[in-house]
Amino acid sequence: MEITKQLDGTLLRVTLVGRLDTVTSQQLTTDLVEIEQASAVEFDFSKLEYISSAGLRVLVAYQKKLGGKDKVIIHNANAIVKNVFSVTGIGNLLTVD
Amino acid sequence: MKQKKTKKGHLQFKILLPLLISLFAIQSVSAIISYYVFERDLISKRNEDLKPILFSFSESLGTDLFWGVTNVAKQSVDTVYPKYEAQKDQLIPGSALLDQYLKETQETYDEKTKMGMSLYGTALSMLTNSIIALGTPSASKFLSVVYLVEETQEAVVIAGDYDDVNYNRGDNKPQFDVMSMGYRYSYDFFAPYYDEGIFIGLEIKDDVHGHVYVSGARIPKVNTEDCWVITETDRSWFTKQMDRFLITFIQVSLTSVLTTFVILFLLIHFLFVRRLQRVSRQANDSTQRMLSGNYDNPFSLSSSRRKDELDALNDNLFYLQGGLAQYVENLRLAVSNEEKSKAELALSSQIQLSALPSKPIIDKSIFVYPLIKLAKQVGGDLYDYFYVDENRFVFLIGDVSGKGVPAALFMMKSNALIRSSLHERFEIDEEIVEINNILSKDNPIGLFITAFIGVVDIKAKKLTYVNCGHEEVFFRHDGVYHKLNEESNLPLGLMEDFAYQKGEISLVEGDALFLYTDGVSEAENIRGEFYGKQRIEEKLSIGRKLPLSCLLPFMLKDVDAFQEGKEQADDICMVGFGFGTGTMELMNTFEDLDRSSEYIDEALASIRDERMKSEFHIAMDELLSNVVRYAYEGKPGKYYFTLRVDKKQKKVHGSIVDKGIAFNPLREEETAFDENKEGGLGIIMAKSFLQEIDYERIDDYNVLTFSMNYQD
Repeated sequence: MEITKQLDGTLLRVTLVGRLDTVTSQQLTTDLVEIEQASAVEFDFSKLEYISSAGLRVLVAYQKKLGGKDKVIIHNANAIVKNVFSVTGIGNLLTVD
Repeated sequence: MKQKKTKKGHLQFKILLPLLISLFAIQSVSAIISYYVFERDLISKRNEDLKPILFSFSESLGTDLFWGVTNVAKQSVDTVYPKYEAQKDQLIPGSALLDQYLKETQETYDEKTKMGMSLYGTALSMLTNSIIALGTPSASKFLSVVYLVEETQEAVVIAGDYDDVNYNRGDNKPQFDVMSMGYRYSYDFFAPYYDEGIFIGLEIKDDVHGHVYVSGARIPKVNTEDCWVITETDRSWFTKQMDRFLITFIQVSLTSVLTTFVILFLLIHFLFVRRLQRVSRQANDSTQRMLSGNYDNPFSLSSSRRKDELDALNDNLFYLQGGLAQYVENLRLAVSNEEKSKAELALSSQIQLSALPSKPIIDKSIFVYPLIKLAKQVGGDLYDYFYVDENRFVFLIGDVSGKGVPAALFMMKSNALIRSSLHERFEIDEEIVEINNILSKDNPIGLFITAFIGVVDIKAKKLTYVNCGHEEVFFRHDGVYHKLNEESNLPLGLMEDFAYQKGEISLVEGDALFLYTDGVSEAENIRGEFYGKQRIEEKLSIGRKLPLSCLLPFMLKDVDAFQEGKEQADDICMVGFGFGTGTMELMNTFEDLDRSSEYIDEALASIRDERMKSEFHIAMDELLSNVVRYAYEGKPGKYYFTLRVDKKQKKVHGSIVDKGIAFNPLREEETAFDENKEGGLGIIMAKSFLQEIDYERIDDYNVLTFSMNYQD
């Protein structure tokens, strides 16, 4: 999975290309060190094929870390991802637009 | 090992020396016993004989006579003795003074006394003679008459020896001992015998006279005096008797001992030792022969009618010698046979194994797994698989009749024939006919091979096969095994010009064939039961969800368990053939998880439903990561991931099989997200995407099967 990140002040913008599954979630966690300096994180999921529970866990972990639903924002999630959010109820913990 | 010549034996001496000593010992003991017995008998006989004599003497002695004698004698002592009292020391036997004294005493006797004395003397001498008559002349050494004076407590010896009349007084008056053999008797000496009036054989010992046996009888009492007649015999008489006895005894016993010894010696020697020596020589002989490799039997059975232990020994040697030759011969044969068969076994094993491909083939369109467990004795099972060309794949299983090198060579021949015949264009049935003819010709032993040969046309998705007398094959279609019901033909090599019939089936992805040899169906347990085709079918049904690579070990495990330790008699051989992409074997690592993703992509390449594919990926990610994380509790482990696309039903079927701890992931559910529970959420997601999902624990496998529909 390709990860593109940019820290704008305390806002961390991340673009993911590919899939967020068990293997790539580990990759993301390892890679996204900037999360320490961020107060919020914004994800662009336009190129993300799908997400599995491993990916969800990472997002929720960030939400907890940053302290709130509004601190983790998901943009351009596709139907599959949106479906996952709704089936699992994770959508309520994050900001999905 | 050289055997030393055995020395001549000393057995008889070892026996006879102790024998001799024992005989002497026995004789000595009996001598001692006899001695004492004899002595005792001698004394008591003597005493018995004495008794009546003493009694009769004392009774027959006229009291008047006696009285007269003793009284007068006493008187004369009273008158004469005082004169000589001062010179008593000189009154010794042989002295003139004694003669004088005696003369004077006798002069005091009157005629009556004199007559009485001489009559008394005569009576005494008769007594003496009677006693003498009992034995030797020295039978009685001393004879005396003692009278006891109560007032003065004296014991006075009146007469000692038959021609001397002497006397002496008791203790408080001087003693007068005329005869050197005489005892002084005190008054009290007689006291114990007053009632009986007789004593016989008292043993008295003193320093002067040694041992003396004394016997006495009381003369019937007259007035107040008490008179006893005493006879004394010293021990020397007895001793002499005993010595004579002993000498005779020793002479006799020595003679008897030596005679016995000689007789026994001769007996033992001739009856026993010689025979023993002979048998010993025989045994020695036998060993010598054996050591020099000579196994003939020069001995003969003993000819005695009533056989004893030595005869038995002799006969045993005979049998031993005879048996030895037989044994050696048998051993030679056995060893050479064993060596031969071992060599043959080794060789045929090598031949067999060299013919079998060991690695499974897992390709894009087909996969094949072999599993063989050889029996100790080469059983002749064979399998093979190879590509004929890009499009055609052959797989086969076979079983050669017979064992050993001929069977192994026959197997090689058959295998080579098949391989060489099936190339380029061919029709399997025609080729088989040819192969059979070649094998049937020039087959003097009459070996044959049962076989199932299948040819897969991958593009045409067709399987053409010929079953030559082999076990019926099982075909898995749509996840279920059933018998193929092939045309049965003869085994190969049995009969020339047999018209082999082929069979054909079409294949779809996911189809499989299960081939086996009679080592499976005819596996026997200790109760003599056979595994049987029925059981194979049942077992296949139980394990139908297992991928082939797991199924074969699963089947073998059951056969082994069934055999329960009874030794495997025949090779157990199984071949699993699958059509389609087959099973991916993965390790429980995250790297392999990545590979599984690629595998999914490949498997679903023909599907255009992108959404389905993504959601399928998610479901797989959930299920697979679950196995990776938990199945083996941190230890490395393998799992099997199988996918196939059913184009007709527009379904993707799949299974995940692992050999980890028994765990049903479907039970782990939660409705709310709990970041501490890492599995449950995934299951919800997987379940939401997959149409079917099932868990089954088969033997020690966790088997998860699922399917998902897709759209064109």
